Amino acid sequence: MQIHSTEQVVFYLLAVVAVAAALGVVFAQDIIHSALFLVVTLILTAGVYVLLSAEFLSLVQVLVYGGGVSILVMFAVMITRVRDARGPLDGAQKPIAIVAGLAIVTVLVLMISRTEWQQAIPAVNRPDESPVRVQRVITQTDKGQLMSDTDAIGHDLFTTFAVPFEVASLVLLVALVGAIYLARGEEDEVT
Amino acid sequence: MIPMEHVLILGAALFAIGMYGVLARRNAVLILLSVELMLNAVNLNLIAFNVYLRPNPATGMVFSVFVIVIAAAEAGLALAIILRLFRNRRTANVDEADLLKW
Amino acid sequence: MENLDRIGPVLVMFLAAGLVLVLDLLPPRSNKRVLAEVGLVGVVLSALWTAALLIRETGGSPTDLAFAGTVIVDNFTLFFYFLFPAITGFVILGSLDYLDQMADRAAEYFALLLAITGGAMLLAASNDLILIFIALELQSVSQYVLAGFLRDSRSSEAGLKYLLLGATSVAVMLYGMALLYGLSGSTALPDIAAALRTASDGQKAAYLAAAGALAVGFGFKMAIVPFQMWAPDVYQGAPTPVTAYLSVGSKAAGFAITLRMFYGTLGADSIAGDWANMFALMAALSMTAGNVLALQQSNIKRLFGYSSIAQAGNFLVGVAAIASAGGRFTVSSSAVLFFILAYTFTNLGAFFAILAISNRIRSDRIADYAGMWKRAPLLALVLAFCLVSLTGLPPTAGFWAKLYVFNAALRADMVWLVVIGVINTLVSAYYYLGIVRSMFFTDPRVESPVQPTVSLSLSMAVATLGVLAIGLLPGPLLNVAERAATVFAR
Repeated sequence: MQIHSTEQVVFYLLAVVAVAAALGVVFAQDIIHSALFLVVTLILTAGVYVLLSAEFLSLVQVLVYGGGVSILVMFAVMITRVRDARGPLDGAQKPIAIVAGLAIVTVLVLMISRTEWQQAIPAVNRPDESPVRVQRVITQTDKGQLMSDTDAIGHDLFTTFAVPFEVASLVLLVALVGAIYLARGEEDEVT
Repeated sequence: MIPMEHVLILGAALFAIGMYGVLARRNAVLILLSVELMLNAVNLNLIAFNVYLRPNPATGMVFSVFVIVIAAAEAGLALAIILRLFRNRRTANVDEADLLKW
Repeated sequence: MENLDRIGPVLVMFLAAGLVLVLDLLPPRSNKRVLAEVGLVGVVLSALWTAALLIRETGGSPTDLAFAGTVIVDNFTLFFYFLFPAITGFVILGSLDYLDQMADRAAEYFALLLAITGGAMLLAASNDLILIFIALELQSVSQYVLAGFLRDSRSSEAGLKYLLLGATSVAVMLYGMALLYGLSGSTALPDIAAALRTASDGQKAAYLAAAGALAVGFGFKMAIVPFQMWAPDVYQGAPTPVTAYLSVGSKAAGFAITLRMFYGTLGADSIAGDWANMFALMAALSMTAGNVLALQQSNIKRLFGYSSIAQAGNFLVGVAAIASAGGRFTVSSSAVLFFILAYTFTNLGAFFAILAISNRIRSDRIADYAGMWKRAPLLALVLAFCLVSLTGLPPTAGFWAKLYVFNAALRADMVWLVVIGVINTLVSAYYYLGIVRSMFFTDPRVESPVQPTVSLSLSMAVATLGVLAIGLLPGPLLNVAERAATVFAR
């Protein structure tokens, strides 16, 4: 029990700071601050992943999100010199947005606390109900051994989810082609 | 063990904050940051469901890997478009460049 | 190999897209027509492959799965395997004219168009949440680029707005998908359907929340109220052939996945009535808002942006019209599919006419269409005919489409929705026929004639003949739609 409660203390600490940083992202009046707050939130979430023993995901999160995406945003901010901008960063619709945000969080929390999550599991696990599932279980747990999450993710990526995996690379290609095409400077600069 | 509902509620809070940011902000970069918050909340949900409800197979984690990949692609493309707008208008201010009327 | 065979038509599209990009780097770099021809060959090969699948009755059994169940190839999939390449073929033909203005950008343009098509086909074949997400994103990301393709400030703005709103709607959709995964423990659609059938009352709210979140993501693709904000700006800012594609292809893809998801997966009695009401409300809002706002437009592309929102509302009437008793999805899904077919021909025909006219007169203002009858009689006739079909008057495809959809709604006891639909048809007649009136009964400011190119005339002729043929003889295509809809018969 002792270990469990330490785990919980760490979780609540992470959660509170993550939410605070997230609020910083949306309320900061300086874009650089916002971006830095986002990095904080993302890295703290990676900490939560570790607590949930999803180590691989937490690593990916830090590398791709916390590292890559944030740097990208910083570049955009610097290149377009958004910081020189005057004027408010928030639109006139801010009050509506606050109401909407509160409404969403209320509805979601109510929904989460009322739902019987645990009941969900057995229904699907019955093999006769789902031909698809049977196929998957066989491919994934040969000999019923427990795989580490990295093993399991890698295994799934290249078996069950081979098509999405390949198409995801296409999405990256398309985004790359598009980004180069759009951002490339040219003589025919139109204004 | 941390109760699953608490992880989900953390996700819900992040999601709502992100949604607020999308609705309230005028600046394209800031809207993008808010969307990243929302996607982060989704990932948190996926991983929590995966760990607590169906530890095997790792479908939820695979899903969140895809979400991260696509989010990165989208962010890259968004910044290219923002750059293009900046070149067109010769303005330092993304706010002026986007006439986002909701 | 059998797995690959099932997605062969999609692979052909992706290969064609890659080939276009590679060919562009090889000399001679001057001839851009080759790229369009590669695209067209890809379209034809893809359609032939689909025909082969059809002849071998691959889609015959209801559960023809591939790739560990992530891909399903049934009659419904085959329907869209034909539809999306056909749309792309049309759009490529329509873009040839545009090629001169694009100069060295043709390769990226055609490659993206083909990638979108592959993505849309894969979406129709998706049987797993993850694949749905990825296929949807492949389309979206390419479409963001195409919306900003002209690289001027209006086009870039359209691209940015499209991307930001799109990314937000996808985030909401993903939240819904995460909920579905949490509730069922699986991302496979059949598993989710099975879990929903045995769900307890305590889970109903979560399923409904998930359904709502999914409707946000799909609704964005379909451009329905209240997720339509991007449509008018993007339609106006994007290159006209892209607008033509978005107004037809993107919408059809949105409806394909909506039908698969809601009819096929979330169709259990416990929540079907609730989401049907949600769609009915959205349908009423879309029709009304789209038509009322279209009334005030002076730019024809923008007008089509709003009119396409209203048309999506018509489709949605069909989606919402699930019967309360046996064969509940059959009538409505075939009506929606038939409407998609009719709308595809009609809207493409209209857009090609607009493309031909605006390429010559260099203006999208409706005022400049005055007296078009004297400057380009054929073009004016085609546009007028398509506008009549969009209004929903006989003897056109649009008439039957509306009839079937409203009939489905009546059978589902949604009389109020039909009343709203009919009123909206009258409103839409005002602005659709207003364009016709201005083309035929006012004098042109400039007398110079307007001539369409061969490729445009060809695609226009096919589209218009399609509208007329369906209008005179709706039976065969209705059969096709009904066969595709058998997937949802339970």
